[in-house]
Amino acid sequence: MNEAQLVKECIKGNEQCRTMLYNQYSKVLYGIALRYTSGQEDAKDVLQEAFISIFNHLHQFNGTGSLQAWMSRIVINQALKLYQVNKKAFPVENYEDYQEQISDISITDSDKLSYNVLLGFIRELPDGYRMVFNLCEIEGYSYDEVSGILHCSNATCRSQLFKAKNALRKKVVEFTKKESLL
Amino acid sequence: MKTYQDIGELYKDKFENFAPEVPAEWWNDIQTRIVTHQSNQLLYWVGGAAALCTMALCVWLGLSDIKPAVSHAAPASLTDTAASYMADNIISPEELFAEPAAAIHSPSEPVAAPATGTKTMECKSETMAITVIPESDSRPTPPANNTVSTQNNSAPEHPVANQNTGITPSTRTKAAAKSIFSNDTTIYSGDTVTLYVYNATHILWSTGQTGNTIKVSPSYTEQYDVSFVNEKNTDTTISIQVHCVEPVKIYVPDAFTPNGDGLNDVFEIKASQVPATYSITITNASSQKLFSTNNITTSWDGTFYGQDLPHGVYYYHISYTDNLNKTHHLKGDILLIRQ
Repeated sequence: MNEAQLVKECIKGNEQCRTMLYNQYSKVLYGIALRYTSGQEDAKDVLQEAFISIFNHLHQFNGTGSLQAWMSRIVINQALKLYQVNKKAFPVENYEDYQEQISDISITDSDKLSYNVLLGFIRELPDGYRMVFNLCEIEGYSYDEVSGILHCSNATCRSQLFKAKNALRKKVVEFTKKESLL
Repeated sequence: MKTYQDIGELYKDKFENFAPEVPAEWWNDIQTRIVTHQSNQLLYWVGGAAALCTMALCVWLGLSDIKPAVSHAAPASLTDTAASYMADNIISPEELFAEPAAAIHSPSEPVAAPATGTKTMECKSETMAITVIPESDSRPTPPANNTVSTQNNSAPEHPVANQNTGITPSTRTKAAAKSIFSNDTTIYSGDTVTLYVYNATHILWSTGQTGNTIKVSPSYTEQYDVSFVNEKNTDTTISIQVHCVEPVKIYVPDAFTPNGDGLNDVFEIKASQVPATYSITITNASSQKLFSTNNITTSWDGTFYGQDLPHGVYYYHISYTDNLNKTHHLKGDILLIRQ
């Protein structure tokens, strides 16, 4: 059964096909949900709400893009919804202030830098930083797009991203130093 | 090992194929909350059709009901009242018909011919025959119909009619409702069941109680006798059997060690008695089906397609029907231990 047929069956309400579709994509989508949230409970909520939304709106998927991209967007939107609910004041700072703080130290990938470790660093970030970092760096949206999504100015978006990246870099560097000493 | 200048790049590369295991039970929560559009549409259609049918039925019933109500019920009630009036010797039948008849019938409806002498006589005998009824206090109140309401409305205007309050003509004319009582029943031993006798008087249970209902919770199959006066005013005694069955008890172990030492080598479900139907499915954390059977004596040895599965937590879902035809679901996890 190809993907289009699977989608059709899911729309019809075929339980087996829904389970198949879920099994096929749940892990990747859970990965996204984990990146956008600060804890497993939130990630669970986001994933569940997203899947309910996916299955309830599957008939609206027009088939032009990839199904995974469409589903990923739903997960991200769900996470953003949660973020908007929990949103604290989005601090506005100048991007220029942080330009010089960007460190030039390069980071070498190692087995020690596991998903769990890296994920932990992302989760420790303030909510706003995490959103911007995910959207800009991992999803690859432009500043304009992200500022539109997060309802903030382009400059705020940049400053948030740099602060996020600095914070992450600091965490990763400290971690690798500690690991190499051990 | 790749060296990154940009932390974003590192994350992008790392998380591109990030697909962690999702706890298996989450899917069940999601499944229950998905709406199937088509089945909804079907439901609407079915619902709509049912509503239409009901309306049609109501209209039909209403039509067929109204006519007899006008031609039979009203005169019956009138003559009925007439009979009691006559018995009281207060007013003449002619006087009596004048007012309620006007109250009951709408101007457009021709009033059914007022009761003749013979009709009054018939009704008199009818009244005589059913004088025993009002004694039964357990009889459900009959639904109000046109005759009753109009009669009640006219009651305050008619001083004599007040005497009839509580015994509305329609209840009188209707034959007394048939006595009903509990059928034989089956329960889990120790559970409580309510036995009843309605539309009867002088009720006496073998337990010594005299109410319409009694609550019993026998441990073993037991018979309860009850004597009462039924709707035909005759003494009756019936027996109600309450059968007791033991509930099926299912024992599910929480761990097993398939190492061939003869102790807990298989995941085995034990039951106090063989359930009417039984099925078990064992899945791993990603909801992959590893084992299933409908036979309670077939146990799982911790393999999948002949391959030993690793140490870890697996999930079971058992459904069974007990001897009262009730379906039960058991869900939980089992630990497969490998040293």
